[in-house]
Amino acid sequence: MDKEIKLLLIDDEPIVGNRLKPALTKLGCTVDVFEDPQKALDKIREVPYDVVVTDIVMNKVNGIQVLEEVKKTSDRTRVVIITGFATAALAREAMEKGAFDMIAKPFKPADLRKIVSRALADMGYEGFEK
Amino acid sequence: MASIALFSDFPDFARGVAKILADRGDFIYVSDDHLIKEAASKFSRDEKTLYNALECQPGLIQKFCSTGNRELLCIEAVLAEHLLQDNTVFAGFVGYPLMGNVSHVMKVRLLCGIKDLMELSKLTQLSEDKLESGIESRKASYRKWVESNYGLDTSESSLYDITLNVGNLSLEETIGSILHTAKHERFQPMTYSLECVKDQIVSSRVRVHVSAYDPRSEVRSRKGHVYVYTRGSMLKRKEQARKLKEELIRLDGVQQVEVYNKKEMFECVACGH
Repeated sequence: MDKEIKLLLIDDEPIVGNRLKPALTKLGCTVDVFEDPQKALDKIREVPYDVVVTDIVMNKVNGIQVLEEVKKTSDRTRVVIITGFATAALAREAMEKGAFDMIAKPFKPADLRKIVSRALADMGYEGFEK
Repeated sequence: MASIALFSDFPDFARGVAKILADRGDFIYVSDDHLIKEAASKFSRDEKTLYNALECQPGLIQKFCSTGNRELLCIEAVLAEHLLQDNTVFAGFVGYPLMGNVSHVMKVRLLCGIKDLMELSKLTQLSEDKLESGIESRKASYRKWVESNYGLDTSESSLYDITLNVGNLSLEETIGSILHTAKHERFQPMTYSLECVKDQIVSSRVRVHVSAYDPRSEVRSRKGHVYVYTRGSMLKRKEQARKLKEELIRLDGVQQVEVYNKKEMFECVACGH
């Protein structure tokens, strides 16, 4: 891979980041993890991430707000929603606002890895499965 | 691509529009006849009995005896598998509860009058006589069928994503509107909506099986973990409960089974209420 692929993971529960970071690093990406969504938003404005994976229910800023901010900053960035409070209405809202995909918690790290791999392939990166 | 479910108080109208959509919009129309044939083959049921389940009102005896609405459950079980294909079009309320929480199924209510039915007859192979005969009584009977089987009032607007008045739009505009709306991002399939369908497939399969023991049982599934609510009388016979679990674990997609005889406990664990 010539270009460094940057991935951002936002979840206010530390255990989620601890568990998912190694799984996503296996894809060969640089993974930044934030538990504070406000700090994550500041970082998003500085760094053009390829993929942002975000929880929905968090203090201060929710995942839909993160999605909106990411899409404002970079339309190219793919956003994946992970949530323990999935509903059809939320799924539709996320897709309408530009989410790439949404998966309900709990899930296996490999499931998320597949989605991120698909997102990267969709962006034109080679060597990732669609 | 989204899937489309069409509803009308005149089921023939929804069927006719479904046929046209399939012809024009790269959709596959899964008709009642198709579902009946599949269900008959998969569950070794008689096609005529399955057909009756879609046409006749369930009587009191049917509702509470051991066979219950098993035929309808068989049809729903095959319908659930079609929900995984994301470019299908369905017509009618069969299996509505399975589609309710699936975000990639766009639910469209079609309001129409006799004039619209006649216009449709010109575009489809449905005969004008068939459409016209006993229209009002068939409409009333269909509403009753939906109410008896699913406890739904077809006029309740929250059941649908969009409602189109064909009388104001013309049939052509109606079809154009449906195809256009189905392209919206909000109706596109995603991992979550496909997982919901996979859970529904397992639940439907289990429901067919459990209905032989208790037609009023309820089933929920999550990634192969199946929760069954059945009235206490059955579970008192421990041997029967053990046998049920053993049978269910052998069904495709089932990894773990929990059986509850207290509704509150079932709803708390399986539905998160």
